Amino acid sequence: MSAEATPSTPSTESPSAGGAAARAVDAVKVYGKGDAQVRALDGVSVEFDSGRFTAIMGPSGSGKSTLMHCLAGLDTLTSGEAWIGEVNLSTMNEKERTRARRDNVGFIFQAFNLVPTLTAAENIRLPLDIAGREVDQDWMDQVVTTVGLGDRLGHRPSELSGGQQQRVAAARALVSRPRVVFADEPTGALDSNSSAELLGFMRRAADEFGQTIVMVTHDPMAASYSDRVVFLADGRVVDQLAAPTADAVLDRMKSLVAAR
Amino acid sequence: MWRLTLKSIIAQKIRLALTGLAVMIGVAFISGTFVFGDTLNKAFDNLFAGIYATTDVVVRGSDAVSAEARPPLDAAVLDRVRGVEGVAEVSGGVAGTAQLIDADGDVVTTGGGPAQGFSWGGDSSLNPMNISEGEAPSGPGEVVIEEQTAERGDFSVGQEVRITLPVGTESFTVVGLARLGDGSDSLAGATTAFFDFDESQRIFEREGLLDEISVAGDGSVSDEELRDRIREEVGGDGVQVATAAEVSAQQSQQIKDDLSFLTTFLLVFGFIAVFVAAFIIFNTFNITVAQRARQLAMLRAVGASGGQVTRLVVAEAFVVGVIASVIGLLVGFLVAIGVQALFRGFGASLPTTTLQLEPRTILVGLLVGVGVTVVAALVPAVRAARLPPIAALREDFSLPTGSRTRRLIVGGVVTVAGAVLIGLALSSEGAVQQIFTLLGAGALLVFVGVAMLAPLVAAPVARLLGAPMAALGGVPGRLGRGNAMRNPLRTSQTATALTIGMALVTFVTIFAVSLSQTFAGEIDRQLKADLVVYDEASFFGFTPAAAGSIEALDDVDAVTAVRTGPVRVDGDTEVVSAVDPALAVDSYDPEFTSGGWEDLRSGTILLQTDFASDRDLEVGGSVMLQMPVGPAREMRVVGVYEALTVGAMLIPLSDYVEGFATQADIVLFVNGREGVDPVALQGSVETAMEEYPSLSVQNQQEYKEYIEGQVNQFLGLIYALLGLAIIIAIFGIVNTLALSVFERTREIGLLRAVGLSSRQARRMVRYEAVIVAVLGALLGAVVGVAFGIVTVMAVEEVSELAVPVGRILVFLVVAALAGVLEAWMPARRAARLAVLRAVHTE
Repeated sequence: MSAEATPSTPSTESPSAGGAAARAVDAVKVYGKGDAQVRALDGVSVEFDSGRFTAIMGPSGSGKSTLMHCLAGLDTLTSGEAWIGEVNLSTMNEKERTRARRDNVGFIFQAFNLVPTLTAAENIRLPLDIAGREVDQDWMDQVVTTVGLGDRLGHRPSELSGGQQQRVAAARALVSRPRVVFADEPTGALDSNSSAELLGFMRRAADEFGQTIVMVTHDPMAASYSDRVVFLADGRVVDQLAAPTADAVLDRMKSLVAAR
Repeated sequence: MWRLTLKSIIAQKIRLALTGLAVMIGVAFISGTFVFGDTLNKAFDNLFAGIYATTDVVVRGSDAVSAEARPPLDAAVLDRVRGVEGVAEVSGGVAGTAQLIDADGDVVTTGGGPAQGFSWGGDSSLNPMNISEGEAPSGPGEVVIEEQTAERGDFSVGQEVRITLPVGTESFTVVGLARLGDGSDSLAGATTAFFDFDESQRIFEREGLLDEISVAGDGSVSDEELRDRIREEVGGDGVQVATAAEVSAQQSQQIKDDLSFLTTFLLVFGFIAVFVAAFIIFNTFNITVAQRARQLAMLRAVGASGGQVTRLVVAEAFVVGVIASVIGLLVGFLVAIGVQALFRGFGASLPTTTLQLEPRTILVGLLVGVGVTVVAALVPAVRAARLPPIAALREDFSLPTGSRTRRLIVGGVVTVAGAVLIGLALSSEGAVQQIFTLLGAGALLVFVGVAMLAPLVAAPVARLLGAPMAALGGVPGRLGRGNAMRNPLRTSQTATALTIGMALVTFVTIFAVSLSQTFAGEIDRQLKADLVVYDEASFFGFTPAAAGSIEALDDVDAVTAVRTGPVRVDGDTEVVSAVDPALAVDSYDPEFTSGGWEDLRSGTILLQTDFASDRDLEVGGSVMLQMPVGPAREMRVVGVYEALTVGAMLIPLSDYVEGFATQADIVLFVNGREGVDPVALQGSVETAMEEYPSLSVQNQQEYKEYIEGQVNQFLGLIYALLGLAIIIAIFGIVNTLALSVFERTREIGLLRAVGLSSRQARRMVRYEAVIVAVLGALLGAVVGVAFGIVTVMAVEEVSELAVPVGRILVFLVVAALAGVLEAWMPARRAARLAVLRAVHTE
């Protein structure tokens, strides 16, 4: 389980933040049995550096969503290990994973997943309410200002645009100061303007707050906002790209598809 | 989290309101019954406290046999009581039946309450009655009528009134009206008349006798001390001395016991309603949890524990339960007023006072309402906690359903366990209450078991029921059937609420019709007389003078009078019947299995088969029989019979006359002379009975119809009360349909977008509703028929099984129509969906 065992090229741009915020070691995930067996993850080892914004990309069925689910403690590995900081999720039961998730993980979903009955402010505070923790009002104000929701806090999700809803979801992911924020196709349901706003905000969260972010996406434009892109195919890490641009990402993707 | 609970309740207010309504109705009925019962009890407490307000000690015949049939006292006891030191005043009275006949020639009734007459207590301070108009009765032919009785019969001072008494019907002049105390406590529940003392002794056949002596002390000793002194002087065999407080408490308690069956009876239906409501809560919460699966999974994903999600759902149920129960308690008052009005509507006047709210009513109402809601929501709540958090990330996620095999096994075990309990109850020899508790628990388990099994058959049955709709109803028919079939779990859970009501309706119908037929069969086999005479207005019997006037008719050969009364046998109070065996030979055949009428003479007894076998008695054995008057007698068993209509024991009339202070016939069997035309016979008996307007003269056919009518009347009452459970079930179906339509907003919008007309959308929902309703009713009919057949076979008293298929089919048709009704609101909603918005709904 040592970091040196990773076959991937260690990132050279992670000097400050003090090691990996999340990592997978020989992660294997098998769905189904017998002939219907699918190896969604086939021995993935990867690290996500603290304070960095990392994108995971790959064609459909490459295992990128599965990897994220397992790292976030939403799903369990068949074998191998999933770590968040010093916490090994693989040895935990469901109850402990729930706790680990609560204390260490923030989520941004593709489908927003806001509670329709709560106002924007209440939705943002929800993880703290669930954990029974006090709201740090300064931090809350800072987050809300950063995502630009100041005057919309009293509104219900149905009164907000898709972009605004996703920014509420992003604020919700940040407010509990999680070790890692996982974002699952966060721009999938947004138009290009809203996408740009959200991604800009995520970039700032990493730069200004030192927030570790792991984002699954299939959009090279979205990936270009990240510090590093990890490419998956057929359940394996096949490539990485530091300081990506949209064009560079697109080229890698093309070659990946061609290689299959 | 609490905020989330409240917000989600507010967001779901309509569907939760419908759910709460079901609980509310149940709680209202239960608390209303309590309020009604408590008010009635309080009113009787007040009434008896009023009657004995000025009395300190009461001397009466002993209740060794039964409180309803006390032997009278010798009039000489009065003077001996007067002589006891510490006694200031004594007053002796007699009482008996006095049916007042109004100007139309009808008996004034209170719907089952007694028609009572008393000797007037005079100016004595012991007389609780006051003359409010006119004067006191002071000689033969004079009567004073209690105010409310007078109002009921439209009597006024100076009027002539005919009164049927133990000595026959006589004419009296109303000389005054009377009220109890200042008139604030009502004597309602009975008709009451007062007569001069000597006149009373004559008309109530109490010459030289007294029924009750009231005593006022001079204040020198306590009531208890005075009681003990009087007991010392006159106490002994057949005489009971008690303080007024004891007597009024005891009389009040006796009436409460007599009436407690009423509240128990009503409570049973309240609990059935709550049970049905539980199914609806269960169903609603299941659906809302499924609809919110993504949201709940999201909570899990962002760190809520399974327990927190469970608590969230349970808290919703708790709040709904509390609100519904509190409203239910308030509505309970209206129910109590309604029940009172209902009784008044049926002509049964009961004493009233301000509505009583006991802490017990609040406690039980809240406990039942909140408890049932929370318990019913528990399974959906736990299921919600099992949602994998990853469900929040998937578009097409649906809640996993349990395995069919497990459902089959668990449902089967629960059903069988219920059936076993029912079997135990029906074969049990234990106390009535124990049997009913077992029966109730068994039925409950069977319903739960059937509800668990129902999803297994729901889809194929819905396919079958929907076949004609799919064939004839075009696209909406096929879509409606498809909707009913696509979620068998939900369809059957919705339908099951109706199953309960339908099963109970079917069950009581089968039982009642079987009972009717059993009676009719018994009458056919046992009744040999041409005519039957009985009192329509009272269960307490009627004057033997009636039999006398029939006997005097030329057309009549013989009149067999049947009398009944309470006796003690082995420490139990039983009812004995008495006839003249020489006359009974020709009029009534109780289907002897051994012995016969010819064996019945003084000192002997005939026993009903079951009664005899329960006590290991057979011909040659003997029974110690304690009648109200005289010492216990050893009666030799000379015959055993099967008939249930005449009670458990038959003794010769001559022995009855000695053993009972009051002689009243309960029924007469009349035989005409050879060759007399039956119609002419009935005509002449009816003419002779004009003196006794409450007596009904019927031939065999009419008598059978009368019995059937009585059973049907009772059946009607039970239908009305079960209607409550059915209405709740209907609310449940409306609720589920509305939720389903809401859930399929997008799908219905799509259908509309591709050309389904709004009328077709409405029909589609209606078809689904009809299938669900008929499915529930059909299951209910099956369970009900099974309950009915088993019960009829187990109950010895019901020997003929009748399954009224026609009537059950009518119930099913009604259920189908109810389905159309239920679909009204949800169908309208489906039809009015704005197509574009519906398609874009998430």
